Amino acid sequence: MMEININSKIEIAKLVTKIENHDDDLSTWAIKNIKGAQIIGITGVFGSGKSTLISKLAVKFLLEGKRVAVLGVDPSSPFSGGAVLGDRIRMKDLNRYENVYVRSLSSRGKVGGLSYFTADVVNLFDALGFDVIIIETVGSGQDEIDIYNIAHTIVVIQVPTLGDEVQVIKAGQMEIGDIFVVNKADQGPADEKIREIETLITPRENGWIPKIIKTVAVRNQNIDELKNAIEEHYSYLKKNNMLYEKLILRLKYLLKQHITFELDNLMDSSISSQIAESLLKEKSITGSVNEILKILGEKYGEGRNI
Amino acid sequence: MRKIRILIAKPGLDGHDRGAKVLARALMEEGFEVIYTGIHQTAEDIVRTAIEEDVDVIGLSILSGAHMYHFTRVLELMKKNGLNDVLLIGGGIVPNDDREKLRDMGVAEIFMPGTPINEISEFIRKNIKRPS
Repeated sequence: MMEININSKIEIAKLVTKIENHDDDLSTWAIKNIKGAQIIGITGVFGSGKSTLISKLAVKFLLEGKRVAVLGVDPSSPFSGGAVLGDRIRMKDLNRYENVYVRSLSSRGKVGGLSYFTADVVNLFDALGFDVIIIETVGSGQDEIDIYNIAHTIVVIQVPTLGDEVQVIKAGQMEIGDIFVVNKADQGPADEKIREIETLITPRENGWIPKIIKTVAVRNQNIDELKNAIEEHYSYLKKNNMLYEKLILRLKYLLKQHITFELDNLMDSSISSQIAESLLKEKSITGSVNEILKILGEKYGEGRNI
Repeated sequence: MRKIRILIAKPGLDGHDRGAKVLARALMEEGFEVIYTGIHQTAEDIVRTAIEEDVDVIGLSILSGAHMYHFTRVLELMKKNGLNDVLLIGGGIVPNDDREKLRDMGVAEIFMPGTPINEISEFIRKNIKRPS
C-alpha cells in the first residue's frame, strides 16, 4: 500500500494523526503488517511516576540498539473535549536519542485508560518496525484495565503510603499486573507496601507469579531490575507459546473499540432511539425512559427523546 | 472535526511558567489538545516535540528578554525540517519594536500580558495553516 521512511519522524507523526482520526485503511494496513514488537503497558495512580519510569526504562532498551516508541495517554475534558498532554515533561532525557519516537494521545472521551484507537496506533508502530512499544495509560485508580488487552507485560506502579492492605485485594488493576513497582521508595514505608502486595498477590491466569520491584525512578534506582523482570516475563510468554494469545486479545479488543466508537457516536445522534430499540432485548427500559423524558419535557420544556 | 493540536513550550533559562500553564489549561477548555513540555527547553527539543506530536501550532512563552534569540533558532529549525504548515506564535514581555521584527521574520503573532484567552483561541482557529 505504501512506502514509509521509518527514519522520518515527520512521516510517522502524520500517520499517527491519521489513525487517531479514524483512518480504517491505515488501521488495516497496520494489522496486516504486524511484525511482533514487544509491548509494555505502564499503569498506576497519577503522580506515581509513570512518565519518569518510562523515560528511564526506554533508555535501557535504546542502549541495546533497539527502536522504541512511547505512547502517553492523558484524559480529555468531558466538557470541551480538549486535553492537556503533559507526559513528555518527564521524558526530556529521551530527546538525546534518535531511535525513539514519543507521542501523546488524548483519551478523547473514552474511559478505561486508553483512547478508542490506541490499539491501532500500537499496531502502526509494530508494523513500522519498532522493537519495543511502551504505553503509559491515563493516570488511573483501580479500573483502568484496557491496557491488559494490548500489552504483553503489564507494570502496575504503586507508591508507599497510599491505601491500606484492603486496596491490594480489590478487583481491577491488582489483578492484571505482571510486575508491581513500588516507586518513590525513598518517600515512605516502601517495604511495608511490598509486604502487603507480596502477601496478597496470586499467580496470574497463565501461571506467572508477579514480581515486585522497588524503584526510585528520578534517581534511576533499580531500573535494571525492572527491565530484567519485564524481559523475564516476555520470555515466559514466548517459552509457553502465549504471545499469539496476546495478539488475539489485542485484535479482538481493537474490533470492540471500533464498534464502541461507532456506537457512542450514534448514541449522540438523532437516531439513538432506533439504536436502543434494536439493541436492547427488554423494550420496557427504552419505553419508560422515553416516557419520563416526555413528562419532564412537558413540565420543564426542552422535550428530548433519548 | 479534527482536533487542533498546540505545543506550549518555554525555551531557555526562563523558569516563569505560571502564564504558560494557565494558557495550556485555558486552551484545553477551548477544546484544543495542548502538549505542555515544561521549562528549560532548547529549540531542538521544541522542534522535535512539534514534529513527533504533529502539532498545528507552536506557542512559545518567553519572559526573559531572550525572545529574539529563541524565536530565531526555532524558526531556523522549523525551516530546516520543513515545518511550513505549522503556525508559530508567542506570548510574554516583548517590546513593540521587537514584535514587529518577529512578525517580519515569520512569527504569526505575539500576545502581550492581559490578552483575553478567546482572542488567542480565535486567532489560532482563523490562522492555522492546515485544513481543520
